[in-house]
Amino acid sequence: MISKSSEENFALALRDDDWLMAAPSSKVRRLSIIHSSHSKSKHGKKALEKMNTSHFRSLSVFGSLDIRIAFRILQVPDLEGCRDFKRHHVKDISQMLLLKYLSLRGTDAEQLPSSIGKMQYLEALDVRETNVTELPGTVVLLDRILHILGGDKRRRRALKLPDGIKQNPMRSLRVLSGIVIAEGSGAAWALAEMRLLRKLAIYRLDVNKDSATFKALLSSMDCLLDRSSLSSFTMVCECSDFLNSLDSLSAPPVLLKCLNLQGVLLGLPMWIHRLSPS
Amino acid sequence: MVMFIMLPLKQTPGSHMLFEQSLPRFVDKELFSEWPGTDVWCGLVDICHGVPALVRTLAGFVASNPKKTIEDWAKTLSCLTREIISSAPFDDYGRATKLLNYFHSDMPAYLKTCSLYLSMFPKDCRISRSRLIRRWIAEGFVDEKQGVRIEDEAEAYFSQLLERRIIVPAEHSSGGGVKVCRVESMVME
Repeated sequence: MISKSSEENFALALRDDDWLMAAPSSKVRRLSIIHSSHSKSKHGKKALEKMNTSHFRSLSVFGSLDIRIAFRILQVPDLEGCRDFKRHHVKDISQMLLLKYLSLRGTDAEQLPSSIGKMQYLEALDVRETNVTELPGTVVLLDRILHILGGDKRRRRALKLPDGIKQNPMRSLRVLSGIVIAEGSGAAWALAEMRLLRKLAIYRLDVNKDSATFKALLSSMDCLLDRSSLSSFTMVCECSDFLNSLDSLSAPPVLLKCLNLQGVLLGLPMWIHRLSPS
Repeated sequence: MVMFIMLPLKQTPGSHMLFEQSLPRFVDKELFSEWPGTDVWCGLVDICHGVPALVRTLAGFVASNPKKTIEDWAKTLSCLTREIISSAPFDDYGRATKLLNYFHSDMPAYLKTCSLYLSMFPKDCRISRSRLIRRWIAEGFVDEKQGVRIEDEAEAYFSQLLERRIIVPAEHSSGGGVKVCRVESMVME
């Protein structure tokens, strides 16, 4: 496949051992940089500096991210699991206004550029297992966003959505995973509007029983489970109040296929036996 | 030149057994009813020269072409035999390349693209299904069909690559689906 791929100018994969062979054609649209083990390839850095990178649409990096990635027309950068993610990379990313897919999963990224709201083509954003704990306020302006993945289950971290989501409830979302809902979180209200949502995972819930946020979330869940296409729902919360309130839903969520409740659970929701067996 | 070490199944019956075992359950066994008497099947399996990964890929190739008749397969066999005899380095590596090229050229265009995309990952990399699918969609490889969600269409591509053994399961999810896959190193080359 590797030989076929370079033969057809499909993708250029720069592996540790074959940097020297790299004779990139300007037709190649995809670049993959692969550092095995812990080597930092000096050759690689040099080769890349000499290379004209303006035609790359897609970039994957494995191993160390020891390069600048200011490729302006990049659409699909995947930096999942890269070491050496630095602040200047955030700046590099902020220039890529044509982004469709951005994965920083498992990197040391701490924040996203506030220009993310201008990335009108962005469909998928993956910041799981990073130090990103909050999304910039402009993220609610993304009209085409389908997937937002954040948080870290193992380290019990969750992603905060901007409060502006209450006014701009990101109706295009299909997957929303790893979020926190705290007292006053706009997300508690916005969820009711996300009719296309298929997967929802709330990793932390910091709301008091009978507060406005609590009630808003419950009514949003009622909407989501009753009328939308939600098929997978995960909720992790320390106290039992919300989980036990799920009993009061008006109709059993017939489309639900996967239910994951973690916390102090006094019993399963009463509608559980009415879920379809498929 | 990349080396790969694999112990060939020296005895042909072993290869045949592996071939039959590697066929998914849904394959219409009627096609093979006269097997192992059918020369065509023996011939195809023999071409793999006892390399297990090739035998399994062949089984995937057969399974993914359910409409082909035994005559079609006979043509495939003669074509492959010609190709391999004409190729100068008569070793397992050359043989594997020829065979895999043949399988590759036989795939529909969308699968070719999606499988070439795997060359961007490191060898032996564990690739999560959802990551791959999201990237295929972002790259614009997945055709939107009326009434089918684009993610479901991409899932179908993933299953077809599994069926053809371009990718193999590495980890399953609690629901039983394939969560993580990898590419067999020989196929990767």
